Amino acid sequence: MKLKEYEALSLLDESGIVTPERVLLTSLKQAASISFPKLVIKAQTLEKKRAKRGLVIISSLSNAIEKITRLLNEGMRKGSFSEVLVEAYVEHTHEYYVSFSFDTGRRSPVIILSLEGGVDIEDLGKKNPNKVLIHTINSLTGLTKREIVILLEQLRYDKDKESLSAFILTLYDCFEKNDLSLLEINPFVYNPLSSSYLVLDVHMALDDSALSRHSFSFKERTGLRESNERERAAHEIDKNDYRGVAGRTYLDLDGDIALLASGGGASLTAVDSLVSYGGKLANYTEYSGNPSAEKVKKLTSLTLSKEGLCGCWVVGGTANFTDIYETLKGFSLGLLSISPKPTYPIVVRRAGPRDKEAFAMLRQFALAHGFDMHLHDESIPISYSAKIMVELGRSYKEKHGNTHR
Amino acid sequence: MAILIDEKTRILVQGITGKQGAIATKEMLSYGSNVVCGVTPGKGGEYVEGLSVYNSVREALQLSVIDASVVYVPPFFVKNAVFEAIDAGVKLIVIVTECVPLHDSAKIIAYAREHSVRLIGPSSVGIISPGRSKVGSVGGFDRAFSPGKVGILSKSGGMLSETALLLTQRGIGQSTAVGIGGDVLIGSSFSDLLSLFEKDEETDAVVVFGEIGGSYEEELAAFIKHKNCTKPVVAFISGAFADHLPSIPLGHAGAIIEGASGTRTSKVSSLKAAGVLVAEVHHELVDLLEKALSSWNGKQK
Repeated sequence: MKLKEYEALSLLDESGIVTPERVLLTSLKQAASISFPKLVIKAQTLEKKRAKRGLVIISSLSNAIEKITRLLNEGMRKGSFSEVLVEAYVEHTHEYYVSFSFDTGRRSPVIILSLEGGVDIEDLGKKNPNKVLIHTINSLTGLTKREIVILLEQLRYDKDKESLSAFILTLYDCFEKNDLSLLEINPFVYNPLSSSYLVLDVHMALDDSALSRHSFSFKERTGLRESNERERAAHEIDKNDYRGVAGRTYLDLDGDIALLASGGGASLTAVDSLVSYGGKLANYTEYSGNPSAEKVKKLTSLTLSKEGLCGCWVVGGTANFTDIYETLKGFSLGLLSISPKPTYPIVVRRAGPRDKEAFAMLRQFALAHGFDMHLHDESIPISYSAKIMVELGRSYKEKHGNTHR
Repeated sequence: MAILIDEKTRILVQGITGKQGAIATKEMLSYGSNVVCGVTPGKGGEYVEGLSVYNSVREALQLSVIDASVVYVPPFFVKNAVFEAIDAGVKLIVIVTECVPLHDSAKIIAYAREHSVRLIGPSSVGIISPGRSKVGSVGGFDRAFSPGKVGILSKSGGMLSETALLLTQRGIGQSTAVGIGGDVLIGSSFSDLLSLFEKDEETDAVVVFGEIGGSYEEELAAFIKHKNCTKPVVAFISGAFADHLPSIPLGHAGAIIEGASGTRTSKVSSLKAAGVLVAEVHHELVDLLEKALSSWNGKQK
């Protein structure tokens, strides 16, 4: 989960890193208290390259209100951000870059360091590879001061290596202690007034798998935007029941085919097929790891609570250990909770342990309750099932008019 | 002999008394796997499926010989469990547990490397050498896998068996199928395991199921391009849908697009450039495989 700048700054503060004086604004009213003589106004969006897109503005105090107003209005108009961070401007002569992340090639954490920060580091690395150093960190021993000093020597850093390496070590500590998957400081600067290094911009991401061993209180988000109500509800379903995974990933989309996919890899494969046949998804969600019937029931109720659907696709690969009977039982219970009763086609494509029992149960269930259900076992590949779903959805729309908003 | 495991492999289950560990133990035994015993701290002296449970891996190893350990402990306990197995001298460790924190995975991988331990996972569904043995939760669906001469490597567990099923339906059996896991950091990558298949006399070709995110598919392409593998490789990469959805992990933790790297487009083009046959739709994998096998068999004669 990516953090907004002001959230990331709060974690840096806790780690003892120096950050600029700042005020977070959600409305213009709060701007009255600002008294920095020169300031930086920054949109709190998760997207990168804010400066290039005019979302970071340097201003004098006298022009500040006008500029803050403009930025807040822009965020509101686009719906992309609702908060603006105002920082005291820090005079500096030089900008530096450092980041910590995980590299799949090296299969370890890496530090990337450059004395030329404030620019796109990937571009710089391509043009001038000797100005951007990437160094593998041994995660068993951690990063050492000696390693950093050597990196600084390679970069021909001619000032105080001791204090800079102490600063970098504190950042590494923050990366490790908080289970961050990314900590990127671009740039940091030296402030002679306080004789300390100071962070001017930060990108930070938390490791979703480690969240529950920390007590963070950041708001949940889906990719680069804040999660909506349905997405948050899906996350709750997952958090409140430890058996298997259901709803941890939930993405509200604007199509009309509801999706309940099973298994991480199969879900993506299935969706690729559906999209290639012209299907449009109302959501993306998945369950896996043998979740309880209760959990699948809740996720079904939530997914199908959306209006304007023309089909529901329950799809997965060939399960190794997920109990198909349990999960499809959960699906049928969820289906019963939807009002008005869905009349759109429901296509189920599943194979795995207890699938024959599950299909017999669903056949009975569809008959008893009058659902238009199409059951596919492993003799129908995922991609054919996608085609059938798209075609059935299309003819449902033709018959019933386009019910989609 | 297939790769990694066969009927002789002696297996230890860490977390054997947990729900998934106990189910997997039962299934492995009924498949014919040589499961020897299990470990759950504090539950020493109990029995699961007639097998002894010990308090520690060291204790288990004093009384039995073990070739492989499969790890079913909860995510935050995985690091210590794996360190314990490595310290006790186990040389093949399969982590089935999902959602292991990244910083823990990094330490586990580094420690395994230091001790020359073969690590599969985290988030691996397991390993199966059909008809001989399986380790982990793979192969609960008995119509999917069949013995034969094609290796399978997959980030996804469900798509490992789905892919095996495609092959089996066409009469093509498998030597060994491995779920490598869909996490950002994994113990054994596609290319690590492809080098084992290359040396395996019982494997004629390898099928790869990859997905967006990370660089394991690109690494595989480079590995093949440098002629480290002469056997035919066919692949399918999922996630076209997600190429334009930045910063959202879809399906697996590792399936996340950051900037231009890790997209399906970049993976497919680098694999094709290395001579790998890449299927556009998953079920076409088997057609490409048949084509590759017949031309490879022709060359062998």
